Amino acid sequence: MSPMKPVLAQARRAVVLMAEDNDDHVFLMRESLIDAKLLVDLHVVESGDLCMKFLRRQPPYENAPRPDLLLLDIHMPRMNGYQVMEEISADPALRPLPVVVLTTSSDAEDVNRMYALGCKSFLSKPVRFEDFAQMMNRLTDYWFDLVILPNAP
Amino acid sequence: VILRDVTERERSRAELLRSNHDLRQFAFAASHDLRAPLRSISGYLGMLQARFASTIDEAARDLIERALAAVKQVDRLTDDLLTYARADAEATPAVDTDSNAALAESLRLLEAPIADSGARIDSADLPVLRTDPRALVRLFQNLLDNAIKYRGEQPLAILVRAERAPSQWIFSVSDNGIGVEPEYRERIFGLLQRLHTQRAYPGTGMGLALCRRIVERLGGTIWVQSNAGGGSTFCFSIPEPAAS
Repeated sequence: MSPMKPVLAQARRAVVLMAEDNDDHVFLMRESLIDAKLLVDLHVVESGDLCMKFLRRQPPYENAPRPDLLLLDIHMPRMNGYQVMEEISADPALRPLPVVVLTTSSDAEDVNRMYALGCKSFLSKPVRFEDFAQMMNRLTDYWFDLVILPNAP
Repeated sequence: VILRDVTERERSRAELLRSNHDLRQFAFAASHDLRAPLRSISGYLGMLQARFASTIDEAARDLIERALAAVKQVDRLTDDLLTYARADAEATPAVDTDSNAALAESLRLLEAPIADSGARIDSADLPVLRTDPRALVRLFQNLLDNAIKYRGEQPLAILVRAERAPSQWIFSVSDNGIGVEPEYRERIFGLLQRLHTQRAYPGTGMGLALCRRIVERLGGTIWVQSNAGGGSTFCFSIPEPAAS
């Protein structure tokens, strides 16, 4: 087995926050990261309101790390992905955070609306597990290796 | 009395609009809610394949393959049902539309299946008419896709034509494929109606139902007739008064 691959050039691991209400999809995400041998510090919140609390370090997330990337589902209980995206874009402190929408929809209306609200990428969840692992490989390559991320003040 | 008739008609129109809206909402919700667990099932099956490849035998691998194929079929179905439910929402206003351009766009969308099948597609006498251009593209796309799927032994040749009738244009897509038995010529336009097994011709039974829905929205009709030399010709009409 080849060694696990750290995905940030810096000494620390990339921090990814996943806003996702489906436990199975969270499980598949974790497993695909293992299969892709990606060392990512993955945090999960199950709804939009908890996502905002995590990003703002409000209880129970006072000690939450600052994510390098947010993976955002659209359909979530209480507060959906659109509302999260609106709040992030309206908040100067959060606006620099790159948001990648990861959802089951590939509906043109969802895609256009999310880009208009300020998401940086829109991904449709793959059907096949091996595609899931490959997608995470490419995603982390791009966001944590290729691009220059905004720096925390 | 007349006044009440109008009110009742208004009310039933409002009810119809609401039920259409409900149906569309249902389709959106069902599509998402069905897809999420489908992704999970195929994810778990994929993990079984990837992680236990060396510890499971041929029979177990075959069962996983079958389960994955079934999941894929449900995924296609949810896609097609959504497209069908959206057919009205997609409507755009009628404009002067070059049906040659609409055909060209549908050929572009079908590039891969056309190349794979080696189909030869010709067109003749396609007019400029006043209609919804996206609807026309979808119609060509579905009918051509159908002709490609149900091709016969000999090299596939398709001809797309149009004919002027007094108050409408009649488009036709003729092929030299397997044809449709007379007793099924109405049924094939029904929702989820299929004449073949998945093994023989994979599909969901939504393509022609979608065509009928689109054509009816445009105020026309759709039908199929057989060709003298085998194969079938699908025809649809689009109303347009002759220029005065």
